[in-house]
Amino acid sequence: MSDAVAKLAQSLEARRTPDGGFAAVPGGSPDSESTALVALARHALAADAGREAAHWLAARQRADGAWPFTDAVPEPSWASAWAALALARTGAGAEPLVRAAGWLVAREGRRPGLVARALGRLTHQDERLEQDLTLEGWPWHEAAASWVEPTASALLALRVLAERAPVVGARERIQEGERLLWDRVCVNGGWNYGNRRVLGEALEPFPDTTAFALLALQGSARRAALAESCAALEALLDEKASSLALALGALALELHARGAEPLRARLEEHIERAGPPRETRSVAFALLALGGGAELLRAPS
Amino acid sequence: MQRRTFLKAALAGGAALAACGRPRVELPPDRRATRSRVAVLPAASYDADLTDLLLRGLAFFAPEVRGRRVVLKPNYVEFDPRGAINTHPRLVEAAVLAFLRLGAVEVVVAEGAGHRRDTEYLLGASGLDAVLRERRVRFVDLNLDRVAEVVLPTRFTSLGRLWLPRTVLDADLFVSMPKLKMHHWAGVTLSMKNLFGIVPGAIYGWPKNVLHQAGIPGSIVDINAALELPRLAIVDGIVGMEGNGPIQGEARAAGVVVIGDDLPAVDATAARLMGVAPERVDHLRWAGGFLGNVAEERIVQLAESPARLRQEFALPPGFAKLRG
Repeated sequence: MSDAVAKLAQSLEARRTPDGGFAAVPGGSPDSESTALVALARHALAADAGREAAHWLAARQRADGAWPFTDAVPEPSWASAWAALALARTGAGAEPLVRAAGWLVAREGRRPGLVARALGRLTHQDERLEQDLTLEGWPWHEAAASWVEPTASALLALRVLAERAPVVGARERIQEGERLLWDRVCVNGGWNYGNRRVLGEALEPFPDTTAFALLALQGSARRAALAESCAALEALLDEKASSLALALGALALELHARGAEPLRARLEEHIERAGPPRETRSVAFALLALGGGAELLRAPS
Repeated sequence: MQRRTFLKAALAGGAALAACGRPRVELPPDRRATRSRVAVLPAASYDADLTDLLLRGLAFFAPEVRGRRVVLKPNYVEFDPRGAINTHPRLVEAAVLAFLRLGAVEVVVAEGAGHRRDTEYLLGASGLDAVLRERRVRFVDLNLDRVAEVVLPTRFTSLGRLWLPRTVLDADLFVSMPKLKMHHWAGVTLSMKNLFGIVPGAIYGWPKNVLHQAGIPGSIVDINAALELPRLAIVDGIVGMEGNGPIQGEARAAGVVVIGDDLPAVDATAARLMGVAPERVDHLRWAGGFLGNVAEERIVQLAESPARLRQEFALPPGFAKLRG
C-alpha cells in the first residue's frame, strides 16, 4: 500500500458516522452516495472491508428499490445508482438488486410535452439547441430533466446489474441513455453537466463529467467518437485538475485501455502534497484509482 | 408562446410553459419598509483597500454582528479563467476581515455551486481557496450541508417547499455577495438570484434544474421570501459582466460596490447602475410588490449617486425591453 493510499484510507475514519455510514464531508450526516462509494473503495482494498458500509445501504433501501439521499430526506434519490452498484459489487443477494434495477428502469426525467416539441420544431429552436429533448436519460430529481452525471451513473449501474438482476426494459433504457449522452457531447468530445450550447454558443466541457460519461459508455460501438472523447479528457486534465478529476480521469482512461499510469502518478503526488481531499467521494474515487478498483466500475461487455 | 419563453423552458430541461407570465397568486403581507437605504461606493480596482471600503459602507447599516456568526454567500456557480463569473476573492476576503473587525465571532464562506460539482477545483482555480487558507476561514459546501425542509410562504411557483441548508437557516447574519451581472434567463443576476446557490445540489442536482422547471423568476422570489433572517447584500461591481451572462458574457469594469439590507432595493439600484429598468425584470417587479423596495422614490441612495456611476451594460440576447 502506497503512502497516498494509506493516507486516503485513514482519512475515511473522520467521515464515518456512528451508524456505520459515511458523510460527504467530515462532520456531516451519512448519505447514500458517500457510503456507496466508500463501500466500493474499501472493497477494492480488501474483500470484506466494504461490508459495514454495504450493510448501512441495505438497511436503507426503500420498498420501491430506491435509496433516499439521507435519512432526513426520504424521497428517492439519484444516489440510488451508486448504492445499487455498491451492493452488486460487495456480494448482495439478487432480490435487492432486482428492486433497484426496477426502480432505475422506471425513473424518468421531465421531457417537453407534445405542444412544446411541436413549437420547438416550428420555431427552429431545437436546431439552435442542438440537442434532442425527446431522449430519456436520468434526472437528479424527479421534477427535473435528464442530465449527464445522473444518466452516466444510472447507465453504469444498470449495465452492472443486468448480469445478476435482469429486469424488463433495462436494455431499452440503456440504449436510449447512451444516445442521450452522445447527443449532449460538447463540440470537442467532452461533456459538461449536460448542455452543448446555450443561445447558440458552445459550452465548455468539464473533466469530471467527461470521465463519468466515458465510464458509462464502455463498450459503445462508436469507437472513433470514444477515442476523441478520451483525448478530450486527457486535454482537460491540465495543471489545475483536482484530485477528483485526476481520479475519475485515471479510472475512465484505464477502462478504455488508455494509459492511466501518468495520471495515477499525478494523483499520488497531489495527495502527498495537499493531503486527502475534503469530499468523501473524491477520497473514494482516488482510492479506487490508486487501489486497483477500476475493475469494480467495469461494465460487462 | 413567445420564442424566448419556449427556449427558456426547453433549455431548462424541457418542461416548457413553466415560466410564462406572472403567477396568479395573492401577494403575501407587505414586508417593505417605508424607505430603504442603499450605499453605492466607488472602487477602482481589487487592489484598493476593500476592507476599509466595506467598513465605510457597512457603517450606514450598523449590522448587529458582535458575538454573532456571519455567513457570506459569494457567487462561484462555475469558473472560467477567461471570464468574470465570480465574486472576486479579494472582496470576499475584505468582507471576512470587515465583519471580524466589527466583532463577529465567526465568519463562514458558503456556496453551493450550480454547474460544477467539483468544489475543490472551483475553489482552487478561482483563488478563493488561497484566501480561505490564508485567513483561516471555514468554507461550507452548501450542496452537501445538513438540510431542513422549509415551507415556502409564497406561491410564485408550485414548489411549495424546499430543503435548505442549515448553515444558512441558522446564520445570525446572512450576506449575499453576488457579482454585478446580466443573466440570459432572468435578465440580471444579483443578490436575490444569488440565492439559487443555497439550494442543495445533493437533493436537487447540478444544475438546480428543479428551479428552472418551476420558473426562474418565481423561484427567485419564493426562495428570498422564505429566508426570514437578518440579511445584507454586498454586490461586486468592481468588474461586472455584460451581455450573455451569467457565464459567457464579457467583463465590464463598473468600479462600484453596492451595499444594503433590503435585497430587492440593492438589486434595483445595481440594475439601474447597469442601465436596466428594474421594474422590467420579472423577479424584481414581483419582489417590489411586497418583499422589498424597487421603486426609485422609495430608495434612499447613500454615498455616491447611482446616476453618476451608471453605465449601459450590453443586454443579454432578447432582453432589449430591460433598458431603462
